[in-house]
Amino acid sequence: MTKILIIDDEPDIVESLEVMLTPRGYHVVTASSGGSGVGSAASEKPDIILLDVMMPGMDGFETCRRLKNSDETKNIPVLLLTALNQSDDKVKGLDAGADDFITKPFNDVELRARVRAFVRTKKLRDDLEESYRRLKELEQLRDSLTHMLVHDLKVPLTAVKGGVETVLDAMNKKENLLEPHRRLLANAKSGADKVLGLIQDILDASRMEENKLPLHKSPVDMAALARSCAAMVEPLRAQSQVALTINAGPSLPEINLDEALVGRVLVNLISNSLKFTPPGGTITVSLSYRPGEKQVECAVHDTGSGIPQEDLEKIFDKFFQRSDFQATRKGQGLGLAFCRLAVERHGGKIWAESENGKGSRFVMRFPLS
Amino acid sequence: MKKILLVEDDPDILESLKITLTLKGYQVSTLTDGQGVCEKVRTSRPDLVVMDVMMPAVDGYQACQALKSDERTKMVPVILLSARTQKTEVEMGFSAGADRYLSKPFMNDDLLDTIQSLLSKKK
Repeated sequence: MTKILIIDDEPDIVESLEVMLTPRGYHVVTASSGGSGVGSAASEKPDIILLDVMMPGMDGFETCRRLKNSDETKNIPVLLLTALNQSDDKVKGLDAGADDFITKPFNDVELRARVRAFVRTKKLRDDLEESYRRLKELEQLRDSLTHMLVHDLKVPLTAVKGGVETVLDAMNKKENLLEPHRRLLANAKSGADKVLGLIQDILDASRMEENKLPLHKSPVDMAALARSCAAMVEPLRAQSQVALTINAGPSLPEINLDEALVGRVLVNLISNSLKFTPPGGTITVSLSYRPGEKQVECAVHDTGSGIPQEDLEKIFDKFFQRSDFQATRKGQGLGLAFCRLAVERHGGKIWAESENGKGSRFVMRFPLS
Repeated sequence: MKKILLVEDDPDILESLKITLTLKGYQVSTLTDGQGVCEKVRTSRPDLVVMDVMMPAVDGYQACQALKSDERTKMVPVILLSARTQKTEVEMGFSAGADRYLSKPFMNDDLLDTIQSLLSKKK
């Protein structure tokens, strides 16, 4: 509801204004002096202020100057209430920062039209300021993000650079290349793959946001897809010493999906769980059909450290970092953002559940058609 | 033969560093998390610790701080490794007591020279 602050020392005028405005759905608050009006403006945050010029003590001009000098109130339009033909007042008022005038005696149709006009202007201004603020926020996010991404890309290069240097060194010295050198190259390759994976994630996420990634749908057997994803993460799983099982419910229908894309989502979810599950833990991929909703559900449940409640929604944001993993962040924030975009492109939903100390559960649901 | 304890959670980097240091004649033992670093240093008495910063559970800053605040282990030089090279991050490393802070990826020679200089200073 539009809130109007009337600052006037004369009760009659305040009342006549209230009579014009209150029945039309405006919320009217009043102040009987300039001083109390400045305070009310700051605390009530009205959408518009009607301010009398002639008041004992602090007059309307001074009140207006103070309102316009305060960061809290400077954007609220001020309409000065003046007597007819007081052109001196108008000049003084404009100089004091007033936005417009209304002359007494008031014509209620005109008064309401002015109020409407200023409420519109204020709303535009507020919207503009809000989008500017959001833009600033995004810019900041992008900056910290660029910083983070650059650093994420540097980590896997450690194995690439170090390994290649050692092997090159050995070759330059005409040493025999042995099994350790082969391992160095294998790790260098794996490091290079990680860099490539990161770059692919970044590209896909931005392409998907722009809706430029076409879906190649075909009927998919989710159980078979889950098994092939499990095979892909097998080296990582063995390293992490975590058990991985797939539970496929009975009569699981085939579903129209972009198999490669959903496969990458599932690999992402399983890898994520592997990162946060200590050795000896379990990861379970459960597949089931929900006939009521005609949806296929795929859930990845782990026995890892779980996710703080306050982060459950935010983990799907682009470049989110877990609040409890500031310094030791293992995954980068792009993986889950990519997952959400990919699932949503299929008309599906993805979310996370977690109970403290009992691991986390990532659930995806895809509509059958 | 000088003993080095290597602490790193990324398996590729861990193995490659281990191989490179072993080929250079160091005896290398490893851990994949900051947890247990203090105990390992007390029991296996390495001459130097090379440790990653970003690790799950106990990170490199915490583990380094623990080493440096224990009379029995504080003489052991610590080299921290991290891709994070902002001033605050490096400062955090030094205030945790690290002797050196190397940014990833580094040249093998940078690491080897740093190790050598810390070991010769220690003598």
